[in-house]
Amino acid sequence: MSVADLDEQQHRLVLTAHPLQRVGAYALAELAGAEEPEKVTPEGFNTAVAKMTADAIRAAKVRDTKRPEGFWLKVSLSFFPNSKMNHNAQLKKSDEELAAGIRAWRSPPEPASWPGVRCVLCGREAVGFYGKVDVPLAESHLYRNTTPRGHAGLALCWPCVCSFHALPYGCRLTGGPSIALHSWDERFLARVVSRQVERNHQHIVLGRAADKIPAREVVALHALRHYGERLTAGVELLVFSNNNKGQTLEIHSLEQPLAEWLRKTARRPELRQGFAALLRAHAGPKSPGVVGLARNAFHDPERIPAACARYLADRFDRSGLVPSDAADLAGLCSSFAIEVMWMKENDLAEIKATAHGVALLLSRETSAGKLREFHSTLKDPGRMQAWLRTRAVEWTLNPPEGADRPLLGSRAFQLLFDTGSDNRAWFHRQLLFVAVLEELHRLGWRPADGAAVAKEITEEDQPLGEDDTKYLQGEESL
Amino acid sequence: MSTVQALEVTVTAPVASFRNPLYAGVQVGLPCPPPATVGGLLAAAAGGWDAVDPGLRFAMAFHARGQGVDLETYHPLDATGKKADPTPREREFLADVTLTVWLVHDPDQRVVTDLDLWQRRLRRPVWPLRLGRSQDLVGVRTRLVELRPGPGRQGAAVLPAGVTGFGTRLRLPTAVARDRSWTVWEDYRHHAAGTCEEQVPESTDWPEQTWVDKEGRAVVLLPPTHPIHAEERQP
Repeated sequence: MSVADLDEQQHRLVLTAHPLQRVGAYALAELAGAEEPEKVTPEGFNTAVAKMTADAIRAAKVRDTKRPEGFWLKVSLSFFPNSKMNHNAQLKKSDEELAAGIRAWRSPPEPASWPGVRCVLCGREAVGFYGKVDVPLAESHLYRNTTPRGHAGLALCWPCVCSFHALPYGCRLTGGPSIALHSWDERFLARVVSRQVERNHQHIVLGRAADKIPAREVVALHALRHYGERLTAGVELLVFSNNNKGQTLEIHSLEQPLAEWLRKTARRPELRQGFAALLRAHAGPKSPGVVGLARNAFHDPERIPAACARYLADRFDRSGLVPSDAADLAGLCSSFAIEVMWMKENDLAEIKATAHGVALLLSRETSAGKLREFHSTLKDPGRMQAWLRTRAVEWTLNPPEGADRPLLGSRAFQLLFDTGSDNRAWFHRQLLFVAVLEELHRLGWRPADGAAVAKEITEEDQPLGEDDTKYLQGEESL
Repeated sequence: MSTVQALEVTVTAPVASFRNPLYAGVQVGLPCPPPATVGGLLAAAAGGWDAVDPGLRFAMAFHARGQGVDLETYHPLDATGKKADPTPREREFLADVTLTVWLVHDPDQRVVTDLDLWQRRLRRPVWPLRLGRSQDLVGVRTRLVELRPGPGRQGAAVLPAGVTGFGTRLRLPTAVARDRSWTVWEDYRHHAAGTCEEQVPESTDWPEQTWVDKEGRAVVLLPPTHPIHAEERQP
């Protein structure tokens, strides 16, 4: 390979298997004004690296992370600890010496010093070995546990090193652990990183502190719901710190079906209608619904329909009336079951048929007590089984008018109570309860004692909390 | 339709851990073993990579019934030669795991594997077999089974990303050079819950044969894992 080709290679970005390198490469592309990393020209690459170097020098000259404009210097400790940008010994030098040190750190090593091995990420000629000073979450250069014999760290080419240097521009900066969103859906990643680079401009260039965020998962939810295209891959939320006090990394994954469902709830009218109710269902006494929803999505998605069931039951218990948003939430739960949990439509239909029968029986009651009794069986599958079995026998002996099928078919029974590892019986029972309320709402059932309670309640619809209202207002432009 | 013979290897362990090699400073885990790890397990049974046919390929499925994080003692190897202090580090693990590996013999598809030899090797492995934790040995069962060409249920299969759109997309190490200087990474899909009912189709776009076992599970060969493929493909 000619010297010119080699030089060209060391100015071309390549996407590798490393999520943080990929986020950094997209950020560097944005700084270079290119649509994607592969389209960054050598000139654009140099311009972007020069921008990053200038930002690092400006931040280092502040010298004190506690000063109002010291935010980027403070954050740099979580990305490049002990670097020329923030090491105590460096910060004691004059401005000129400090700048020279940073420029040297952010300049490629001379070819004569290249180690003659390949970059472990992209396979091009490596320009040196790099540890955690340059690569977040790499091993310290003091240790040899994870590097090949004779290597003093990760062998990396210059574009891959610069991708890691650009990583902070593509992350949500908090001053503590940083948040990166990653996906193998290239268009999504490009969009998310591009927006983040724009937002980070004032934090990095001016050193201003970033706004506090309610929860890291909300960052991901917000990005998903503002994305206009269909997602073709899942989304990973990486929360990490490279700080000397302790390197940390948490990876929370959203599989593609759930990520796509959350995105669609902002856009499909029939789903969007229920989203406010979904936020109400996830609101806690001290936290907005958007936080609860985002956390459930990342940590335990099956809690989403469970939260809906609990919310509807609570509202029924308070008012004695079937909540008016029961149908909207039931619609969301059904789409969640089909699109996220991959429930077969036939199985969902079985549960809905049982719910229809249960609702028919309950709608004959003038008191809300029987529905409360049915709801209480959610906590005890044995009791629910007995409750349904008793009604199923009565149903068979004395079928209601128009009943053309048993109350509880064998498939529905299996779905609701089979404890085999492949069956999500708990989830199916939540779904049954929501479907019963949906059906009762459709039948317009208003128990006499419920109406009495309702008179005492001035406002049936629980209002959205302030934070959730702001969140929804922020989405109106979608 | 004609059937082919395969050796179904069932590997079980109470605890397993598959480190994500991209993050050396922290110990985060992968939801399933990378093909390179499973290839290494087979090579351990054979006595080393020199005893393994470079063209060896296998299909696999993996399921864990639980997961957690515990503390392990980390022993740093100090670059200066000094004695370094052992430190506790968090380490993710998977619990009650079952790895199923299929070695297939189908000369019509130019897949030639000496199933008897591998059955003998796995009954009496040369080196102890482990899944990411040196203190936990694994249990191994083998049986000869019949597969037939056709679509099968995805379930807990680890599949090349091109053959399915379901499950989490993962980029996993597939072959690692013997001096660890180069790793071949490939895209895969895996549904960790193992309940994916989707059929893995016989696609004309996909050059690999799809087989199905008697339980309806999809069996699709993964790329070869022998280190020679990393060494040859090193740019």
